Amino acid sequence: MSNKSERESLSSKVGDGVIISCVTACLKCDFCKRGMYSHCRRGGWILGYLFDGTQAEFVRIPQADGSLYNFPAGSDEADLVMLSDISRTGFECGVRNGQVTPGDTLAIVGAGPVGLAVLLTAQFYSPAAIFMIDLDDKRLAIAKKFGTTTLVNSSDGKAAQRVMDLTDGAGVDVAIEAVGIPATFDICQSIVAAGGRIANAGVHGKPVELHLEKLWDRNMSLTTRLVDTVTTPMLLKVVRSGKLQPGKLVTHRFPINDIMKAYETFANAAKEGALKVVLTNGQSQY
Amino acid sequence: MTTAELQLPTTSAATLSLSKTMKALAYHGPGKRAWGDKPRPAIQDPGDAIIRITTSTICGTDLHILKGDLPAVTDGRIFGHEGIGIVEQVGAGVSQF
Repeated sequence: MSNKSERESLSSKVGDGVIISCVTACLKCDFCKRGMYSHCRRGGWILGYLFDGTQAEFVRIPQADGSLYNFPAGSDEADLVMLSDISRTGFECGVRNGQVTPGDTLAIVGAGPVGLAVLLTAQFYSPAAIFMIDLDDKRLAIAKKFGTTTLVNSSDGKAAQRVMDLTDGAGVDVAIEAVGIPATFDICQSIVAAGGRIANAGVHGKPVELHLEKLWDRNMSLTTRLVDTVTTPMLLKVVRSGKLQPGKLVTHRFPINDIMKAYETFANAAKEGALKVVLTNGQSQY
Repeated sequence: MTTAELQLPTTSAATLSLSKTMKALAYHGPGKRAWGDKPRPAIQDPGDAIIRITTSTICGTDLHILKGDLPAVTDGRIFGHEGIGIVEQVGAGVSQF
């Protein structure tokens, strides 16, 4: 048992700086005990969805013990807010589920914030080649800066063929879907190599056509996941070391009173060159 | 484990305690949103914490909600699932983050 002062230093305090997890976790239910916070019986993804969220001056966070993370002093606030959701979604749903391994050939479909978070965190594992597939040359240029080895503009509808040509017909070991529409899922199923993995990170609103007639003998696997946020402590350490700087994805900052303008900028992301749009409330404390 | 040593400015706590409202962005049906006054949240359950948001961000999912793609979202719901902030208040059952 820890002594009193240790207990005090561990306990949460008013005035602490915290990262709010996009997923609320009670840490006690059967799903939480399996590390599947996304399906917590008392939480999961509720914030800004079924429960009042964070685009406000104040927020009530239920199950606070499992849903807040103290952050280290001196951290960059842009890096921290990227840990609320996108860094972990890219890492858990994309990189981890795709089992990116040293030497792999990796394709990321979609160079939006989540696809770029996949790009940043996939490099923990030294893939040999990283293809980034997107319609927008501006986003592809950013992806190039962040470590992509080969850019593929998909606006001519021939992205899958180009990836197959570039891999001598083999395809890629890991294809990560980071958009959430049938066209981007189709690219993934067309380019996955024998023995490969498709990891879906996109939020889909429409059915896709699964080409099992082509995939049944490919020894491939397909995974889906809602971010569980279980890698937060690990990612915090990597951010603290400076080896992961997800704050690079922030392109625009607005005071929270200008939130309507911020939404317009983010909704016209291609025209505005926007990735992550950050809202600040009052003076930063750190 | 180390924690950030942060102090709330004394004026902040005093000013905030007087106010019962806050600004927030609320959903009001497909395509409709409003930045306006909402009641400030209070502890309702011992496991709750009240956080003063210092930084938040907009996600593609927020745009899906705004479009009306997620019908479970009800009128008046405040947007946003990403953020960092300062702990204002904790319920009696909160022990450790």
